Amino acid sequence: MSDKLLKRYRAERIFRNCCLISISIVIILLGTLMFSIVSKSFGSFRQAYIKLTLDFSEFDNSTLENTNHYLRQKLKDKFVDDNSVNLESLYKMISLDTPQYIKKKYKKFYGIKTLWIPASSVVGSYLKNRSIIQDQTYLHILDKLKSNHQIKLKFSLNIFKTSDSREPESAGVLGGIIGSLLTITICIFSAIPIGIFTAVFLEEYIPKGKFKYFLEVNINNLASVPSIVYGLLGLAIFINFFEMPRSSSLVGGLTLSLLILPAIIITTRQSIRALPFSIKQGALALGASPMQATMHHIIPHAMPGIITGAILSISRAIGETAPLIMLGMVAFISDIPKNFFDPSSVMPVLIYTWADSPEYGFVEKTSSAILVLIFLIVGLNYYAISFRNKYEIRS
Amino acid sequence: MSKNKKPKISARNLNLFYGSRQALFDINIDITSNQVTSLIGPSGCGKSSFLRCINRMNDIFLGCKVDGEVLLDGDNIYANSVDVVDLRTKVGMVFQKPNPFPISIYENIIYGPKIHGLASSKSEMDIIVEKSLLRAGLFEEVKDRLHANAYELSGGQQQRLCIARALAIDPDVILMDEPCSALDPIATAKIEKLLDELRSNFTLIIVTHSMQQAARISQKTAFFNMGKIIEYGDTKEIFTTPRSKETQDYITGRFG
Repeated sequence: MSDKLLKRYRAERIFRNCCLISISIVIILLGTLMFSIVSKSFGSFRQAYIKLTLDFSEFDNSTLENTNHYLRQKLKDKFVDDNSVNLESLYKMISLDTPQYIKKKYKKFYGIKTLWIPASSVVGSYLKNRSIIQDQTYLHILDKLKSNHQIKLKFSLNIFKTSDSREPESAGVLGGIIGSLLTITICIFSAIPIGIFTAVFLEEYIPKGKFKYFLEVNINNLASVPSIVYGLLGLAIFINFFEMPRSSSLVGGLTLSLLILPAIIITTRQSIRALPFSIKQGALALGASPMQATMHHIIPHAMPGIITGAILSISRAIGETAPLIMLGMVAFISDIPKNFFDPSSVMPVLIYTWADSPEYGFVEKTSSAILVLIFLIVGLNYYAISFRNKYEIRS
Repeated sequence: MSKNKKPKISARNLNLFYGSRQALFDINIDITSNQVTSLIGPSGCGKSSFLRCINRMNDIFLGCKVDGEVLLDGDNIYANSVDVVDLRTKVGMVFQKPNPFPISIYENIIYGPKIHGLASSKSEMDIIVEKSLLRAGLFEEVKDRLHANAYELSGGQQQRLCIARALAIDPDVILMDEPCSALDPIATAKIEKLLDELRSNFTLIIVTHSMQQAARISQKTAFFNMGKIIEYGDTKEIFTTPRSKETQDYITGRFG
């Protein structure tokens, strides 16, 4: 073989290996990310319980304070012969939400009953991984409880049934999921129509010239403005000027739609421009009005491209945190939003808040919230892509 | 040209500008109905531009300005009162490259009648589709797959589909901009045969680069050069005894 040929083969090999190395790096990084999230999130599907024998005739179950007091008393009874117990640490064994739980579940119950009641995240963290707990006062109590089989972990899907809470053991993602869905609904129904009509106007109606160039430059620049700036814009326009409710998914969705509008306009224009001019010409020659040519031919055939742009933009919007922080969606909201005007949180903000919380137990909650967000995006994309494929087959 | 017959289309002192560039200079021509008129000439001579003037397709190009008159049945189509959409239902057009819509064959044909309200019921639509395809000589080839995508057809079939689509709205005039330039000889022969059949019902104006084609199919021929009509007359005369030296040079292949 000639030298030239060998050289070419070698260059081919090196090129191929470069590609191989790149994709390996990508796979390893993504794999590590997914593995760490998934493995950390397992813990949040197991809830810690503590065994207590309660005599419902001994306390007034109707007030949370009494119940709490009684539960503390009962805990103290377990360590009646142990003087070294730190009471403050001991009381942290039960969740602040437990009295609420007992009040709900045993409203009309009188008599003695041995119950496994929800324990705090300290117990959970200890049972899942003992080395996390550094505090000796905690360890002293927990070791004793464990050796007496007073605490255990049970499988639980509570994370999907509850909303945000100060207590990691009862914090859930339901409020975040619903908030995200409401926000993204507003975002889709405001950004996509406005984006498409703007793009059509720019492509079909505005003659080439300084004005169009001015608009184009500005739209392209807007696409690269940091997202937090849109938060300030939303704050100024929607909350301060239009006086829409703070922290609501309405304001969040509208602000996110401002954020993704430039991207939607740009991708829509590109997919309109990618269509052969002959399609429009053919429609016009058949006596279609410009509007008919646009609505019957251009938009339907540009639809796959438009939807691709929309998917990318919506995926970006649903994972956006910074602008929503400016709109007050970072506030602690423990109610599940019922409509677009209710204060609500969204998944990425929830992740941000949880990741920032010092309590034991929020680590695993954060991981599972990230997983939920990923599934949410994948699910939305799946629907969008199947919708797009339907369009592609039709055209 | 039968002297007593009123012209279907006439251009009067027609000038066309693309921005500052003038594409047509003082075009005067009378085109008679029920015959094929060929427009020939070298590339960029303005024949396609003139063709597009007849159904105002030039309007969609920015910076395009028309000066003078084009009369369709005696009415100036550039008058302010004329609606472009209305005009284009009377003057259909077939383009150089087949441009069916990327939808089904059936939908392609019925689109025009649908937007102009010519068909409302399913049975009316079926009749229009069948009639148009029959006229375009395509029905036998596609009758079993009317709902297949038009892009599945061959180039020649696509072009006949475009003709069928133009016929479906029942125009008076059909303009054809080099309809056979992207087709093989067999498909070309089919379309030429079709044009001959359509002649009895429509006024056909065809731009072509093939002198043989012009000679074969048309009754009248206009030779364009540099945005002007050099010679216009019976096809036979143009090809056998051209009056102008330029025409003779062109048709004998000495330039262009």
